[in-house]
Amino acid sequence: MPVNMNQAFRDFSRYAVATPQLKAIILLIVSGCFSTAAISADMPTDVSTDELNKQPTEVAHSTAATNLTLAQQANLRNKLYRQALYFYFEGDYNAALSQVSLNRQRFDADTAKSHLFEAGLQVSIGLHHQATETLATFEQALIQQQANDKLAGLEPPTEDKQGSKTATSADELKLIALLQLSEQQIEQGKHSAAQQTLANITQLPASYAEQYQILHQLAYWPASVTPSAKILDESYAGSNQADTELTAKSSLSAYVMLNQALQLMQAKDYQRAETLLVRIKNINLAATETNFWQSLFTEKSPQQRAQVSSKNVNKEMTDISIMTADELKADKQIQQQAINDYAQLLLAQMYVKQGLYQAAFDQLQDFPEHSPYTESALFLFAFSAQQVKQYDTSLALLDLLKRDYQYSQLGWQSALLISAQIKQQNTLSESLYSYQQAEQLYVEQLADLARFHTDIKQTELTPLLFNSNVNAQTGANSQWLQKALENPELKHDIDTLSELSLLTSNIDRQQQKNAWIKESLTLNKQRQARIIEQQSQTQYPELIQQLTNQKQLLAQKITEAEAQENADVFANDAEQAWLKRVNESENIIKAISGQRSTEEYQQRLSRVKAVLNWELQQQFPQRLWQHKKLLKQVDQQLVLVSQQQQRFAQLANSQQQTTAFEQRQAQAETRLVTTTQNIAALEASIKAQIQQKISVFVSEQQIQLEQLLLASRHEMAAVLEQMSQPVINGEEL
Amino acid sequence: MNNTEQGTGQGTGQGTAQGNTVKSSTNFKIWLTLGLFIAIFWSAMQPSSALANTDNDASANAITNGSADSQSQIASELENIKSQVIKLNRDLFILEEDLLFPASTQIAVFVSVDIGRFFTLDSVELKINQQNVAGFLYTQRQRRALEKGGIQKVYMGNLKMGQHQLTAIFTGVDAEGRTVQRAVTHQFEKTDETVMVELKLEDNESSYRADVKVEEWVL
Repeated sequence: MPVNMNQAFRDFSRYAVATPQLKAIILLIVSGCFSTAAISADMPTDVSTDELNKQPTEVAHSTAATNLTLAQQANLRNKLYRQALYFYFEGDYNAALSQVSLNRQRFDADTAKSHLFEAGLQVSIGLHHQATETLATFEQALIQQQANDKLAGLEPPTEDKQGSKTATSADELKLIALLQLSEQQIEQGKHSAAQQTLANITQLPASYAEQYQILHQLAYWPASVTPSAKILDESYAGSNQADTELTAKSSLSAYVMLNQALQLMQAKDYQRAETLLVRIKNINLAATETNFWQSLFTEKSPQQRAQVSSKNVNKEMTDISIMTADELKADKQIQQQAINDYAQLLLAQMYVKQGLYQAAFDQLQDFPEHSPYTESALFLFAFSAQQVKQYDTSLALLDLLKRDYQYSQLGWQSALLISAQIKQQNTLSESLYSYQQAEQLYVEQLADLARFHTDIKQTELTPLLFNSNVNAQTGANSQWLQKALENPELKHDIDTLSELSLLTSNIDRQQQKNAWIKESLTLNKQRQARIIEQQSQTQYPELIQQLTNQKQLLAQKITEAEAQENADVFANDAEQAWLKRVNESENIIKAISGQRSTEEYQQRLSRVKAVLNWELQQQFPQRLWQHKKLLKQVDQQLVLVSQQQQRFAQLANSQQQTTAFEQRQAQAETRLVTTTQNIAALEASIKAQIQQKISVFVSEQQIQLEQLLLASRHEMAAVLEQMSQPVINGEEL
Repeated sequence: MNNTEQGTGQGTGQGTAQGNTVKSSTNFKIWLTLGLFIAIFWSAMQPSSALANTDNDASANAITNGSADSQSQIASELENIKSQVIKLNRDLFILEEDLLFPASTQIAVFVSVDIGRFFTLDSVELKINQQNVAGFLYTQRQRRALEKGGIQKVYMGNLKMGQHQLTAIFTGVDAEGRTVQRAVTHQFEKTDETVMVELKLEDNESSYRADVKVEEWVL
């Protein structure tokens, strides 16, 4: 107690300053109780006792939510959704997904758009099954939202004056959801489910027509079924009537046409297939335009997710690309060349299948050197050349294949084809030499393969497989490894391993965070105990009661002063001194009144007293008001202090909230351990599978090489037999 | 798609998915489908002298078909783990936030950009009650994320109940390429509920400059 309250109240003449002192004392108590909150504000890592015992999610968020109007809720939901959107555009897909989930859990912010966004994010990070489930419940969420919006009086999204959409309409969202759901179903091999999903689309804008057509083709593959949905654009719908009339507005159209050509070839309708393939071969593609939602539903590889590049991402519902303009241009060129080359190769294959070797030969003459299909085209070109008796060309091509594609089956087969051609055109000894060379190639490759298998079994897989420069690596092992990785299943396993590695790092970070939370909780618990101990040393209830009594006494005195209009009560120090002197003077006059004439003194004192009283009366209303006001403030502060004291006592006696935090932390710890174990188990299982698949790959390659080796030896034997035949004949003759 | 993927490993379809930049999963599937068909056609037209061994193909297919189930199981397990990790991440985030920023003292400040034609955001500096509390320097990607409609939580902290003053200073480049600053001061009252303040950089069409507007979220 820095001020002696009894002393303050002892002298009524001191009353004028007593009220502010009382207020100051109460404020000291208040600030004492608030000290923890003040520390909490300055030191966020060290949370105060009372704040620690609060459950914010339950207190603030839930109670606030009930008071909101529907329009305000819609506005808040939109803002929360945009927070997730920021993470998405920033490239942090996990954070975006967490934010969506957080919005739902904390603020009940669940909209149709956020559902679709969540599904897209799930696809982005490879959660296909969950995405399917989210998409399947989308329609219900959409209906719910439409009902809520109607209740809130919110208008559905419309187009602005410039015609660009400010938001996605409900119908469009539904269409996107259906398209993506069917894509996920196709991805998971559920083709009939995909067909049913696509059947729910009755009409669609032209901008989604190509995506719809491709999904339709894939869902019904290999059957050719005409899409039933109506396309809401006459020019497009007209062009869609006949397959062959389709124009390639974008690369998507070209893919549709390629699939159609494949279907025609399968149906042996070579004439129409040829027309279509010729068109695709010469097609000039327009840039593929993908909007926000289409881009969202593209799965990002673990590497893409791990390494957030500084590429740009465009705005929702406008053309979007994650590439810069130069990269886009380069990508478009690559896509265009791939499509054109593929059509050309397919055309040549179709000719070969029909026995039109000259046409195939002519077709492949101008096939580009640098193409993903060069190897296949080269082999087909060599084969066609052989068939049309262009032996020099075929020999040169086969030799090129043998040299450049040493680890490819086509390269190995070329060695035998060369020997066969030499056998046909040259002498038997030259042919024998050629077969010997082929045999040597197979023997060397077999030895190389065995070495690779031994090495891979003895090497730790992870660093070897995760080396980003596998393709750039030289040496036989990396060549075999590259070839093995052409198996999609093996590649998928390695991607899975890579994802598990990222998840392990993530879990490590979470474990660190959890440990930190645990430490914080322990520190706060200690701090809480220390504060309770400190507070218990002062008897706050008694002190508050004492102050309340004093306040009541003061209130009574003010009331009395008001009733009696006693201005002396509010006199300040100087006036008190004057009043005291007047009293003393009166006493002195009384004492000397019998001894001498005091009339003059009495008159002078009366004049002074009158002036003093007049001054005090002048100040009386103002001073009375001031003191009443101060008393009211004191009263309020006392109420606050009393409430805080009660709250503190309540919290001090209850450790419930701290325990709740500790329980949550402990649960998280348990889950972290379980997840770590699950990751380790899956990692071990995948590594074993990878080893097994590499063994299968090695044995497949061995079988192929051994068969080729056997074939070459058979041929050698045949040549030797032929070489020995004239001699035998001669002997016989 | 497993079946189509099996096909890509055989014959000439190998190069299909490798030589291209795969733009979307739809595109990817098409390439895989194409890969399958080129493999089928290729194997059908292989010259006999090339010794295309159908027995090998059959055995390889048997192996791959056999592993399809385990592949699917692994994919399912991986999804499950991923989902667990994401949930854990979220729960720990909530726990951390509840612990460090209780609603009664919590203040969060957000930044959003509307259009961004007259102001290219470089950085923002935040002061509460004249004290620096946060600063953020934007990368191009982060700026674009804001321009695309994202809202960024730039600061989260604790405040005592009562009146406070928030000052935000935005630094950026105007339409003419000059470095400019926009500042705003906002008085607010911290109650026992969370305070969320959004600083909105909005283009002003009439003055051809960007203004900062402040909105307190109604929770």
